[in-house]
Amino acid sequence: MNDRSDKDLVVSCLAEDKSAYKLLVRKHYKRVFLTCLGILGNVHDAEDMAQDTMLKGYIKIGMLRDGSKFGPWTARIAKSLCINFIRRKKYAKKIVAERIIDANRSVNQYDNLQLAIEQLPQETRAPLVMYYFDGQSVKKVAERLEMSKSTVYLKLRTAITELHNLLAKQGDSK
Amino acid sequence: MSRPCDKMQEKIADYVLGILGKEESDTLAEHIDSCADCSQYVQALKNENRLLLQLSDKLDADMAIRQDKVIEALNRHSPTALTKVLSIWRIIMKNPITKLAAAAVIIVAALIVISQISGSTTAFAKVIENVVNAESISFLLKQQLGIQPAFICKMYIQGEKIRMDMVGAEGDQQGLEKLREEMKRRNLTAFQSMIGDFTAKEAMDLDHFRKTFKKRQLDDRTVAEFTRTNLVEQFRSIKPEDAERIGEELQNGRKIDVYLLRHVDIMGIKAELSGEEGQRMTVWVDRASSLPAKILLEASFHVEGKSKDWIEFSEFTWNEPFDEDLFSLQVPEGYNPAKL
Repeated sequence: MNDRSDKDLVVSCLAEDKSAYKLLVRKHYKRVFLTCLGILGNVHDAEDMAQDTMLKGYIKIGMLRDGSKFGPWTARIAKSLCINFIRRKKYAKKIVAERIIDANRSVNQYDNLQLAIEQLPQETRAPLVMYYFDGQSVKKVAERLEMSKSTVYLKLRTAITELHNLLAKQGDSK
Repeated sequence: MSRPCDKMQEKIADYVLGILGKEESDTLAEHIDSCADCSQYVQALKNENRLLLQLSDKLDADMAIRQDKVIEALNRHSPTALTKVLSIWRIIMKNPITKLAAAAVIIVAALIVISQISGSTTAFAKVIENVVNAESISFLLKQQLGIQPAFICKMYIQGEKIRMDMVGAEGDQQGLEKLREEMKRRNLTAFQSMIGDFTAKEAMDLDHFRKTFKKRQLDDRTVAEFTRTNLVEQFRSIKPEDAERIGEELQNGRKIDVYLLRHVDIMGIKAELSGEEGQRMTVWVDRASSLPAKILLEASFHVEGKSKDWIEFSEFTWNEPFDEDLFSLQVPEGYNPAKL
């Protein structure tokens, strides 16, 4: 169990202690991954972007002025990388390619659910991912997304209703 | 596929999310008992809710494997010395305007705090007024962040105009030696400069190695941070009990009073110094002129018990007008736009 503070670990990283950064990866990877998943919707892309985020964090650690802000800092890097990823338009092509692959392999209920999550609009997907996969309270989701609690409720309601419609459509198309 | 009643759809979603009030839940339960479509919809949403939670567990189960992949990638990564030096340059130049504004803030803040502790408020109020209204100030700024080398900047502030010249770096890193040699070879007094005009809301960065320039607009927030009238408001949180006069020194025949301030909490510096033990600001004040001769901000990390993070302001000049050309936003001859 590691109980060193982020600030302490960042200081060690500045002294070129790579093992300290590895501890930061263990502590913060999940949230970074889920941030990427919230934006991109696709687990594989989220994995790639989360890895890029952690590597970029390592290279740029000297730019972090307050080590205790490592979590929000990496979340910002993740958002920026994901947005660039989408902008590069590779994303659209990749989705098409994956759809073709998906059509040729057996799918289970989780695959269907993941595909439906991917098809949700980002503004409803992000709160859904934070609420269900990161186990965050509506209050916390509202704070992190800078929305009111009632807006988060509305987005969650829309998300689960829309997920149901997407899953129902998938069922109909088989 | 059957559909739930229009009026009930949102309520059912809220019910599954667990955010429906007791009264409404009871009404909904009554309705579900008598409506097969809504009942089916509730079951479907509940199933999907369960699936979402299961998927969450599934993602969690794979999290360690994903982390291992990142750590493997990290093990393969080894930044070169050059990358490190370039990265340090970028740190310094990341937001120089804010840094300059913070520097100006520190000077005024130090004086205000000293005025609070000195007791001679009337006399010191005049000093603050002098500083706030100073036509021009220049000083040398050295800063050490963690294990990185100490960068040295010469700062000039005149009215609403400001200039920062990166004049050198102290440290034994390999890249720095090259930097110093290169400056000497090219006969450069600064390797980078930043010029800002807060009235025109414009700034220009100059890279004297590459002979490139980059112009940018200053946003209102940056301008506001620099605006002197607003600065005073930012220092109201400083407590006089956190400061004390710790002695006096004789420097070049001049009497210098030394003040020590703890728990510094000033904009721009707060993020670096707050929340840790050992943070302090020392101010050396020239007794004859009542103006600061040196200011040292330190953040000592408890890891090795010594100060690793500090900013020092020294070699002050006050009200010695600078040539306007120093703040010119005209691109110097032979400089090209910096590539992104």
